[in-house]
Amino acid sequence: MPLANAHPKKRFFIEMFTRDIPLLDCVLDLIDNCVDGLARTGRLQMHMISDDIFRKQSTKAPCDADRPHVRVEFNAQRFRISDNCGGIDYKYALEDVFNFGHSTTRSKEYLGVYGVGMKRALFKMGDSFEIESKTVKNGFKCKLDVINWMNKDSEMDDWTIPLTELPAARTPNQAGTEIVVSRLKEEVANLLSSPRFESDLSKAIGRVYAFLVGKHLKISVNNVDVKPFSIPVGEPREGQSSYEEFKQDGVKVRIFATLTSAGNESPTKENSGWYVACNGRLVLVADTSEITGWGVHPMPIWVSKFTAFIGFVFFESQNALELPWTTTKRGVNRESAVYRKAISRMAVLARPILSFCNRKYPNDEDQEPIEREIAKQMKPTTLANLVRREGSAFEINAPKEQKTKTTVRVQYDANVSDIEKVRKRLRKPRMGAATIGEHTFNYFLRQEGLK
Amino acid sequence: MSSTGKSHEKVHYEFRPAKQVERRMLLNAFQELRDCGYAISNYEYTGLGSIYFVDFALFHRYLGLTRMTSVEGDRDIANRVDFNCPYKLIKVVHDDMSAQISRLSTEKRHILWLDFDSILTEELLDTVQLAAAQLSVRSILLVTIDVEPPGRPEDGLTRWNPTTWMRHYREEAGAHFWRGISRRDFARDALPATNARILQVVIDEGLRERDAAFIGMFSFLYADGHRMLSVGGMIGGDEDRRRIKSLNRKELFFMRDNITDEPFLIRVPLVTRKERHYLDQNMPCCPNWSPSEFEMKAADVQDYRAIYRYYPAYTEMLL
Repeated sequence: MPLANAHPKKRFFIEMFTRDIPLLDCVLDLIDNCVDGLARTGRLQMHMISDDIFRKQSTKAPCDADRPHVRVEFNAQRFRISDNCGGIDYKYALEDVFNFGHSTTRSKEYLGVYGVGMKRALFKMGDSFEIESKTVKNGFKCKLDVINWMNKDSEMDDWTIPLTELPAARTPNQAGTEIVVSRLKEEVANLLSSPRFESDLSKAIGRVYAFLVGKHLKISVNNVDVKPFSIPVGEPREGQSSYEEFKQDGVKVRIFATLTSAGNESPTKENSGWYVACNGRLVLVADTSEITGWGVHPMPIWVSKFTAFIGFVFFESQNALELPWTTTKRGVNRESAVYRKAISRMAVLARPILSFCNRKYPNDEDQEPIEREIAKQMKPTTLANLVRREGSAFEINAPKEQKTKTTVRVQYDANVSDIEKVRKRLRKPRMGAATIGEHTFNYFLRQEGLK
Repeated sequence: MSSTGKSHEKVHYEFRPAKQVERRMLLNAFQELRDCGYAISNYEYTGLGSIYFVDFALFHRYLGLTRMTSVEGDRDIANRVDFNCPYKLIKVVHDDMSAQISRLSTEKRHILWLDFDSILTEELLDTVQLAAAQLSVRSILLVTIDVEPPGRPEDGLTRWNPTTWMRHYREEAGAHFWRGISRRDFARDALPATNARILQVVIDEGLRERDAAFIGMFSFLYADGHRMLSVGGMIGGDEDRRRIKSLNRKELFFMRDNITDEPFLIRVPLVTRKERHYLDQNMPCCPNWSPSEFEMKAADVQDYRAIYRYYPAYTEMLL
């Protein structure tokens, strides 16, 4: 039987595959590789991430000086990422790291899933890259001219990358990887030279690694340390939040739903919605779209009255392939069975909170619902404090009566010329119409001896 | 839950004979379920007791249910509801039913009666879907809705006809419509069947990610004023289906295998107390029997024959 040619083409991976991911996500993919370096050395273990998030007594974190450091530096000429997270083993590099897709025997990585992130990021950024990596046992370096490599693509033997073996790192703290990309693509150079990209990247890193940064590792962007995003988790003073956990297809799922804590600032749309994490890495942040069920029965469409809602879904598995994330790790695979089950449960757990939010805005404007006061008094807490062994659903122990407002809005139309007369008499030419209304009302009360 | 009016203000719950027949038939079915091995007395009952709590009193007295929760979303009658609560064991929750559904333990078995008084709305269907997603296996879900055409007859036939009724249903339940649904499905007489089918779709949707099915048991159609449809069944597996199928269907003649089956029509003929005594003395009667002492339509005799065991007796009490 004649056989059709189904060989891969380098051009596809270099010119096409890179179109599916934004530059910012490429940088996050490279940071994932650093985190996985920690996982391979055993310095970061799955239970350590879980314990930090879900247990009241978390694991002891390394002090600031000992904390592994990922440095991201860039300008219009080059991009560099370096870390002391343990490095890549020489044998592992020879056999697996540069493959497009992982082999069936996987190492102990949490965030590297599909075996495409690093290559895709490097091809996206520039036409030349150098990698130097050292573990405590061995090391290697490689330098690749991407265009030359791409043009040589006639047989499978062309799908190799030359590596040079290097001596091992002297200490565990020196073990790590450095990647430098040069001859940047024009659009990449433009973005990397923009201050906006730098702040967007810092913000994205702070959010995506909110549960890792500052605890298990330090990340800096152009020598400025990234601060982890402080998620305003709230807990009712009298009552409880929603929590549930279940296991499916080898994935442990934990779902939290509550109201944002009442800090100095009011809840914002930017923080409201669902946060979805896979192995501690946030893949969706403050999502209010259909992806997390909003507007899909039985969940309502997200509207501003739900701003105080905040929910978290954590998917956790030793086998990262079982997690419901996309190859960009900035989204979820909605068809995955474990995600579908989670969506169904998220709707149930969110419901009492959405009902609570609805009650803040009664049809009768003269009512002052108790829910407004309760929402203002939500105390800041951690997710660990919301974990309940048997699960829980949001409930507030509130008095059933609602207060009647002691004020009523007075509105009326007045002639512009009359308003001007008042301003002139008061010698306040910029006095607003509302203030004039209040002033004249109070004047009447005083004149009549009513106040 | 939105509604065009508050049902507790429209009619005294105790004087809704068809509704009371329905409650007693359900009670009978639950007793049979208990006899076939379901620990009904340990079930938690959650309903919308309003200010009358008729179902609560009935199920507590005759099924021995002791864990009961009445949900009341109307804050304007909060104190009234608390005041009228007949037993200390009934917990009154002042919240939306949908919120309370999320709080139902997945470890315990429930009888949940979503006894709505409104026509079908999107919010109502979302509540039903949540219930199907939350209720544990072997729990019983009952849903009652008004199946009168939406809108007002006084709007006239140009605005009050199957086309406009279909428009309402499309707005509220369009996401659950099936291929081929047409104006004919929204004719007045077709509305109960269409509503039942929509409810079936929504319940199935709620169960989609679960290893369980909805086993239909009840479909009642009655009218103490508005035409009301009640459907219900158990969330369970093959074994539950087999056991439910094996219930004494002669005794439980009103039961249905699917909620989309032709509903059991609860018709309560109007008879005097004296006529009732006479009729009862002849019950159960042969199919062709008719009273010799007074006139009564054959259809009314058949209706009475079907429901006489469940027919409530009302009498004036001079206090």
